[in-house]
Amino acid sequence: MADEIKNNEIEVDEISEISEPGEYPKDYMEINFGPHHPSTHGVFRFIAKLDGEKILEVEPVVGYLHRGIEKMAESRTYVQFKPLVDRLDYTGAMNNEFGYCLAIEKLMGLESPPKAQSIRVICAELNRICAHEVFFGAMGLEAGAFTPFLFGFKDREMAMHLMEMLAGGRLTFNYFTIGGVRQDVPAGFFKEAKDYLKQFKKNLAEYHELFSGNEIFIKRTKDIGIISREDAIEWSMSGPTLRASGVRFDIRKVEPYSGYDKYDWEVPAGSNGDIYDRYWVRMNELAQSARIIEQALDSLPDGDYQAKVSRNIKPPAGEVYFRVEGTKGEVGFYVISDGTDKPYRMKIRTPSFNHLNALNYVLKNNYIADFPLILGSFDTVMGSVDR
Amino acid sequence: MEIREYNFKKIDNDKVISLLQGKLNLNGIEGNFSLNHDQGYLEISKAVLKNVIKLFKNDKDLRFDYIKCITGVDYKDYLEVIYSLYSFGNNCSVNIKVKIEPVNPEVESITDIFRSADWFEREIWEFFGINFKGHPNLKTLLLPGDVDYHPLLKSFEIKWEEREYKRPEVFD
Amino acid sequence: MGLDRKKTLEDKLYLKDKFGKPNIVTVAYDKLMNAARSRSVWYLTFGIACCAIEMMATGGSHYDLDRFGMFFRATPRQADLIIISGTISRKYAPVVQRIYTQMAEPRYVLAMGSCAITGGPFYDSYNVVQGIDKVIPVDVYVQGCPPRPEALYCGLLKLKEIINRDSIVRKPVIVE
Repeated sequence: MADEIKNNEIEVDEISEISEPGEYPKDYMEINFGPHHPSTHGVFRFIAKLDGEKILEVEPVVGYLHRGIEKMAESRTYVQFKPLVDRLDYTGAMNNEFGYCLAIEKLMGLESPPKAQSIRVICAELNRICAHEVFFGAMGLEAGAFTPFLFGFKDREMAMHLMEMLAGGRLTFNYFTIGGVRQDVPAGFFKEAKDYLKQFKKNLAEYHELFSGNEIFIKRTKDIGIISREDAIEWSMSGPTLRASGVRFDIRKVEPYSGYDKYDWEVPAGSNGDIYDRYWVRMNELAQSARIIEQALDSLPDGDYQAKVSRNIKPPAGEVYFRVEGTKGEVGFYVISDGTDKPYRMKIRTPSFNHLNALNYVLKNNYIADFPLILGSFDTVMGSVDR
Repeated sequence: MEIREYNFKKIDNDKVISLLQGKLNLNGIEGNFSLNHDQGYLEISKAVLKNVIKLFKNDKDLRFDYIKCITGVDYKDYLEVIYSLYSFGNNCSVNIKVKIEPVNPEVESITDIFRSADWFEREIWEFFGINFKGHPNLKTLLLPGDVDYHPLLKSFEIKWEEREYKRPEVFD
Repeated sequence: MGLDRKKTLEDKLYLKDKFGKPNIVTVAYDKLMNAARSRSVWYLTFGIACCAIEMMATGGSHYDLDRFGMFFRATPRQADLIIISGTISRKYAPVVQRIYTQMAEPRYVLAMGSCAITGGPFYDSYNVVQGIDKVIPVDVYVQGCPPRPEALYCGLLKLKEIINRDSIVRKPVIVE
């Protein structure tokens, strides 16, 4: 008795090893977590087979937000289709537009003027900040804390105020055009953006102090939901999820577009592949985005903000696959054009689709209580999955 | 595990094509190469698809270990499936095109080589009707369960008109 | 006292200050219940698509919904209001119907965004239900794509007026 009290460690019983797949114990439970549930990830349903608290198998059911965007692309012109692309990953909408406009411009052999490229970079990075703030808030909600949600959305409001000055919208913008951007940077934007960045750096330090070192959060996220490097590559993961598993790969560095190679910034990567690493990579990306915006603001060139293109966009016949680094990962557009002003086939490859594909594999042999955090660390948005 | 730093230097498209051509000739596989907007395309027949993909993945020089995208297209005389692969080690990508006949279309599934092809192929089956032989779970993914049409075929048209919706009476 | 018709309910209730000792107040039951009910509408977290992010931003701290007494509840049994925010697909419409029937009366529906009103920019898609009022009866429509938080406020305040018109003497008509 005295020995047990002396050591503060209490031995936990060995958790019984899971049986082979296909060999479930006879009394497993099958539970449906319906499409409407109190987490912020959207309409996502999954059917879980549980043995007590351990997950045996998870079958995700998606398609509750399927809007048929790829079919609608074949009956709309390129310019008419552009607003719909915003609604794919609606937390950071300009990155989708970036990919779409750059894919069409590659088909046409067009290059936008340098001022438009810098403005596009500023918009994309501001949207990346917005999207990662939603992630921060959702992560806090999954872990049981309410304050990160309010902090994240407060910071998002300030970034959205900047976006409203520039593009005229808060969530969906339709600001990029094929060949540039729709309007110029307004007067007073530089001062507001610089003030925002100063405030943002202080806020980021505050978030780290509040949440990142919290012992409860660390205990819930370290060494849970580990994805090894080979598995991450085989399951076609991309973005921060892949970078946290030990692959320092960022499309903005490897296949740079729109002037990303002019700025000085780094790509964060994690070495463990657990939930904490995916969180840490995204928080680091917030700091790097602020760096990029500052450099882009300082070095904004003069000139036109839109290349001279005809009103009727008619790319020559051909096909191209172009990918950009969206907020959650690799957003790719496979465009097949037949010379008319409507696309023949527009295939949209989104990162959240593949992350949900791997959900069954990642969740095996984890407890059901870890499920919200693992799903939150993938940072899926259902508009992307279902299109 | 430590963070792997790859050497992402740019590689010439012609070098890629000559390397791939060499490997294919070594294994006695026929294929047409072409370049389109700076991207390499390889057209092969349906029968050798699995061998080619296995070769591309396991070969020590090629190491194509990442699927970027699997696309299905409906040209009215035939269907086509395009596999876009990428190699982290060599920083090069290739697109593999396979032609399929439009009546009773089917092709072999590559889920035992790449596990991530699971949902890609399910989506193509759902939208085009292409049957993937050997796929473990070919059910509807995005569409509701009781549909009998394949939406992305060119024979299925959508119009700007008001459609009727019948509420199920069960829940009231 | 007959000229008090213009004064609000709160003024009539401060009778203790007027008379110096506790008193009996007679008020129409409808007015009392509607005053209490319209100032504490608990809405269901029913975010579907892009409008859900605007709904969350409205509930955040910059545009604060808590000062109107509106707080989100996760289960339909405890909610008064369901804010349909996002495109309704044909796979999801039965789910919305089932959740609506699980809410206890009196229940209200607010259709937020153009996708919930008529199908929005996805009008011609094969998988989209053109407006949520083909599935459940709607009280307030808020347009926008997505509507600004101020527009959502306008809709919620209109809902307050609708609640103030309710009466238990005449049962509200439920459209089937």
